[in-house]
Amino acid sequence: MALLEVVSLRKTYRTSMRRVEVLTDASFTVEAGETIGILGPSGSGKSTIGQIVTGLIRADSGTIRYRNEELHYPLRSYQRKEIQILFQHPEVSFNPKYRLEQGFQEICRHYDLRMTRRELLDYLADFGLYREHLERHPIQLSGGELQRAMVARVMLLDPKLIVLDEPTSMLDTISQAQVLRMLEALQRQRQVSYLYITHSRCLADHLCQRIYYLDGGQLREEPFPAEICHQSSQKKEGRKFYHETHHIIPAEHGAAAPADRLRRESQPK
Amino acid sequence: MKQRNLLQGRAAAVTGMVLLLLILLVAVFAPALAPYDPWAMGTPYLPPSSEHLLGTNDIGQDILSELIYGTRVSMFIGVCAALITTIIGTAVGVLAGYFGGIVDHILMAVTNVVIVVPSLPLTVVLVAYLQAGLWNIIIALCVTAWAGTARLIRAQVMQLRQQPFVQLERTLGMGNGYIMLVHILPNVSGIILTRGALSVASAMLSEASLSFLGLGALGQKSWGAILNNAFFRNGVVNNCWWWYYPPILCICVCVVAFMLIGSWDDRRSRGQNLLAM
Amino acid sequence: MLEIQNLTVRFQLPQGTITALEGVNLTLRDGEKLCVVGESGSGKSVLMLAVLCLLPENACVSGSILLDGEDLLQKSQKDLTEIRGMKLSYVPQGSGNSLNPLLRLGFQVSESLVAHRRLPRRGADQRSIQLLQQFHLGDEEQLVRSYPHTLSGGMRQRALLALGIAPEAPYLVADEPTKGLDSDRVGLVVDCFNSLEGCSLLCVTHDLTFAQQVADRVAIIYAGQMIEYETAEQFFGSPRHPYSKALLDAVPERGLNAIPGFSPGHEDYTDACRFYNRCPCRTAQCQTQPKDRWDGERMVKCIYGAP
Repeated sequence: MALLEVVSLRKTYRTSMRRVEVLTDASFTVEAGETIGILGPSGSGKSTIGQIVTGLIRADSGTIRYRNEELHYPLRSYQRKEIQILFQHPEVSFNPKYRLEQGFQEICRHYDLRMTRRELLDYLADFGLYREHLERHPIQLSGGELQRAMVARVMLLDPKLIVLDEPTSMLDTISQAQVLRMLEALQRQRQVSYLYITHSRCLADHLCQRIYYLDGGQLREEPFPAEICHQSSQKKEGRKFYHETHHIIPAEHGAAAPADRLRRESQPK
Repeated sequence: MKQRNLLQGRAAAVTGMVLLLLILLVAVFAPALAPYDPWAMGTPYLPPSSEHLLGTNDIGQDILSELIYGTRVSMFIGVCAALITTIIGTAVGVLAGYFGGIVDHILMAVTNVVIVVPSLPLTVVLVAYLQAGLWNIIIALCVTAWAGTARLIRAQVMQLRQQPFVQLERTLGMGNGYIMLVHILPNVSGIILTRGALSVASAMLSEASLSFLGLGALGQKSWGAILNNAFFRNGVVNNCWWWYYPPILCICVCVVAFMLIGSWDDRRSRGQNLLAM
Repeated sequence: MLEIQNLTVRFQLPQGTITALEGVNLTLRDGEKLCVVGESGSGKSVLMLAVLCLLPENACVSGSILLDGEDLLQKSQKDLTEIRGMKLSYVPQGSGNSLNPLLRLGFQVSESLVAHRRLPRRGADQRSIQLLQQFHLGDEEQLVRSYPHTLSGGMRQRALLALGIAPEAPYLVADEPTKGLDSDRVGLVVDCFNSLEGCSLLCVTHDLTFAQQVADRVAIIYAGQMIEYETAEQFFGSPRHPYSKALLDAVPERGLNAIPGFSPGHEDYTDACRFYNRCPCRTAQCQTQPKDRWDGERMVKCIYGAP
């Protein structure tokens, strides 16, 4: 039995000017404890899938079953608690008016988690966050710190499914690796499933067990593992960080001729 | 150090606050400050002298004392009207902006109707129908004044509700009421305070207009009422400048004070965010 | 030539003084492309703002920034306005609100030409079209009349680049030009940067893949200090500082390996090497700050990075 089963999801955005069909017939499943990747170009509606699953927007039609029970907008009770989301922009994921600590206290209060400040600090140390971070406002923290804090905050609820909506595209390389590796470790500890939305095939290859590609409002499963990010296999052979010769980054972006790419970009959407 | 940073670039607002403080002190200590009872009659049409610093009116009441007592009435009406206006405007704006959809449609339809109604004539009509008491004036002043605030706050809240942190609060299972009170309101507090200060200014002006037209609170000596007296009880004809200039000046100073306060800039001290870049 | 000598930037904050950048020395030769790489909070943006002389008032800057032999830090605001228009040009971040949503794109691209080169408004639109054509945005005549919200992220970044090169300044300062863009769009921005000729580029970025494809030279900033300054070829081939190695290991294409630990906060600077707590090859010697070890045009701030 799949943890999450999504069948022919459909969503059209209507503005006064025009209507955009972002999802026509999107179906996929997520098993417990696995990471599913959803790839697609910018503006293809990847984020819409995530927001529908999380209960932030209503789908036009289609069914979503979570633990064999149908999800209805808006989500309630245990569903609300177990399905969470991480956004692309950590700098606006916390209320700018409050210190970081207040964001955590709020959750402890709401869900009646009895946590002393000491316990909270111990818990946060695993995420690389210390007292000084808690006392600051979001504007005084870096993107990496905020995104780690966001992970810590969401994990307080002990969720079973987290939608990762490009959680690292605004972060620097090291923060990106830290956040993603942290998410992997948490998955092993807690058996949480991820729905990883990204535009980077390489990152998806690192994290996901299965990958879907969103194209023309439909999802199709991609063959996996792909060849593009071949160097990732090195890590499985127990590669050490510092004592190995470094290779030039493979020319992933150089694959298509510049003129080709320029033409693609300028085409009307 | 901290103090300096806090006040940097806010000289105007601080000036406004000092002015307001002075005005409030005058209002509170009116009995001690006023040289005469503002109702007591004496020699009419006296020009300013050492005895009557701003002269007397047509029935010999001391104008300085009238002004000092008038501060109480004018401020009370201004502040109460602004408070009610801001509360209604904020509530309507937040609800419309946060829920969107049908709630937004209905609330904004009402707001738009209120905005296009010419406010002063409506207020005049209302005051004419209601009895001309202090509270009725305040109610009349509030009927149309909230709409501008509501529109501004709605626009801001609509942007805020799209922000990830608000969306996250929803996924974290927080209720709508909680999110509006705890997460939306503090983020529009800047607008609320600014609009509030400006509302006091405009309420005071409207009150002065009403009083000038003779529709003020009966038996209350507000600045507008003094002005009304000066115009309709031969002050202008007799060229008693000490009678009609001072209330105009008082209204101006008060309005300017509130406008200056409204210019308060809610920025955090700059430079802090650089550390996170 | 742009020479930065012993640049130190401190911020006066309510909670005390904070050192954001310490003793940075680097040189940008004519026609060279230099990428300044660092994590968020490392001070790389502060470096960029210092060069542009756009730091907020509570910053204390010491050292010197010589642009063709003239120290920018000694200039008056009026001179700086002139220099920023004519010699030093800025390409802002495309992901932010760098374009005014109420003005047409053509107006914004050529604004600096009208302001600094006294170009008539009418000729300016023509020039905007040419500039945008240089970066192949497609349908440029239409584009100059449209408003910024109609542009996609990749197009916006290229339009900003066009805006940056409009005054034909010999020095270009770019801020995170690939932030938030997907890899296809990064490729387009790379092509545009590579098509720049005859201008020196100082580019602040955290995107190593981008840096590798654009830079001639790389400067690595860690916790407010420059720890390695190297030709791009050398850096991406065999970096010398342990942090540089860790940085490259974190690139997804190279294994997405996260280095343990986190960079120290501004309050936690000690006498030890700033990388001490995370460094896999630390020794007792590292308890004192290593010196900048220069070898001609290369530098490494580590006792192991022998030339």
